Amino acid sequence: MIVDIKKLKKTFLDGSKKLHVLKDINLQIDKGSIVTIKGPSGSGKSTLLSIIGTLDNADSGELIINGISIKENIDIDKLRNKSIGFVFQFHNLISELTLHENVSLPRMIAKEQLNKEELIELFEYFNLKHRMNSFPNDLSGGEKQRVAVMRAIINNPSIIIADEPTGNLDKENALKMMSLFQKLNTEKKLTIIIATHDEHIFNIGHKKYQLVDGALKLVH
Amino acid sequence: MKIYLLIAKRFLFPRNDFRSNTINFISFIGLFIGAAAIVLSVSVLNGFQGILQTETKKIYGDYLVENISNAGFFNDLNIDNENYSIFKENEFLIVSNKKQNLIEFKSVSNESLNDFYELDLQNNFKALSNEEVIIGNLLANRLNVDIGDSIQLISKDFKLNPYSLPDIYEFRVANIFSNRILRANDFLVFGVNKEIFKKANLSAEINGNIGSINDSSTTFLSWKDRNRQLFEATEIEKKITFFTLLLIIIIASFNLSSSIMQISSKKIRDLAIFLSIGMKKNDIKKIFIIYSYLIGLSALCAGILFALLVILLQNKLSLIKLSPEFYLVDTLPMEIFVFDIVLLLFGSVFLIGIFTNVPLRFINNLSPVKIINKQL
Repeated sequence: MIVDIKKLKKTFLDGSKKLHVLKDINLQIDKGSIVTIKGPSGSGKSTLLSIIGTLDNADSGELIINGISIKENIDIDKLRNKSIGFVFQFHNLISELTLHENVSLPRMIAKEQLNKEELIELFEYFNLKHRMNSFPNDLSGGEKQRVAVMRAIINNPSIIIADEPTGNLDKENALKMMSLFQKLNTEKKLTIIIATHDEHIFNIGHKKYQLVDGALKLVH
Repeated sequence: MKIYLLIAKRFLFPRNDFRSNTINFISFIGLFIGAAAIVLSVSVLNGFQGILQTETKKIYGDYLVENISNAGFFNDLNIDNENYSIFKENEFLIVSNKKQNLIEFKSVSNESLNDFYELDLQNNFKALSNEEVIIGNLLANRLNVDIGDSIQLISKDFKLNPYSLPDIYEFRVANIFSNRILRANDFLVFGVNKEIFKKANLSAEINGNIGSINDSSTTFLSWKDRNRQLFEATEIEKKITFFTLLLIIIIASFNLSSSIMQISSKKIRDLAIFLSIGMKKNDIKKIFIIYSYLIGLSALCAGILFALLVILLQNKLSLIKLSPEFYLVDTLPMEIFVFDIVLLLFGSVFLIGIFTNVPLRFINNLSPVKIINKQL
């Protein structure tokens, strides 16, 4: 098991009113699986992914990633850098850096040497070798999102967290992205957690959940 | 460090972002002007201070030893330094053409007049007899005397001789010197006659290093100590100029601070991305500190180099002329010391550091989730 969530709660304050976004969430994710989560806007999908991705804290409950309990006394930044890769709805690439610099960022943050052949190989895998020295603004939406995926996997993380990865793509590119996730899961044995509105993407999950009223329900 | 430098450089020179480039350029120019202004102003003050120092030493040497026991003082001390002048000195009234003035008569040896004191004489030096003196050009004008004219010296304390008359000594002006430092040309008279002194003790002036003299009973006064007020005033003037002009650096640092605030607000989404891929908040601060120092240090170095170039050109080509009537010299003197530049660099680096850190405090409260989810 790569992710183990026990009794996770998260509340937001809306003025004086308390919004219970996540109520006693329990979730176990097996290594090498694809988990998809769907739910209406504001249901807490992004919040749940942010907590799994250690970008946000839960009010209570326990989160275990790769057997490590996420508490304040561990180096969360390092864990996020080494074990988790993010793909957001918007590509979120750094516009002032070239594509290969964007992709190399997590490796450089980890202060690890990046083999140039390895980088070229990765760009070839994503059919973007010819754009390595381009800047993000020179790319199409689909290409940008592929670069964002490359950046997410460069450090060989255990988990890829994708929050509405196709939300900003046209149908054709959304389908390509879906295939890409399946390919990465099959060939690189990556664990992928996807939050989506898109039924096509939702259906690629080995386990599919729906987030309703702050509770996760398994969809068969 | 490589990654922070890379990001800082890219933030510093954003592509197709005229506004950010302009803001950075203004910050650069402010620091450039500040650094250049400080170096140029301090160099001029150093230049004039150097001239004061040189001119003072021509008349007074490096050190003064008062009340020495005998003329063989230096032989008794057994030092190697032969460059000294033993003298007697006292105040007298000088009288000529029914005009009088209070002067300081300094009785030295002819060797000292020739070798020790660097007097800018009107005529070539000739050894003085006991009845000859050298006076300053301002005093000569005041008394309306010229070379060859007679003057009288009257003992200032008006001790009467057996005939109930004050002692009056007749002298002939053998030469006239120019030196406007401390108005020496108005009150100093050089001679070799020692008989006119009744009780004056021996003193000595020394040039060069006195480090080897180890005589606790004698006080050595440096040329600076002897003219403390003047040289402290010039030092204070230099310090005040330095710190006043440092205000330009402070204002430019404010601008740098505002520039960082703007660029960090503009790049807030990028900062959230950095956090999401594992960069620490302190490392994000490093990016902006490097960014700030890239502007700051390049502007400071450019300003200093520009000022050094101006100083070099002035010293080689004498581009800025002065009237020697008023300024002692005919070209603007400029001199800069490594210490001044090091002080400027350290002071500026400290200021830039402070003004960079203030706007970066918001990074402590940066929440990547809010920024990424809201797509700020």
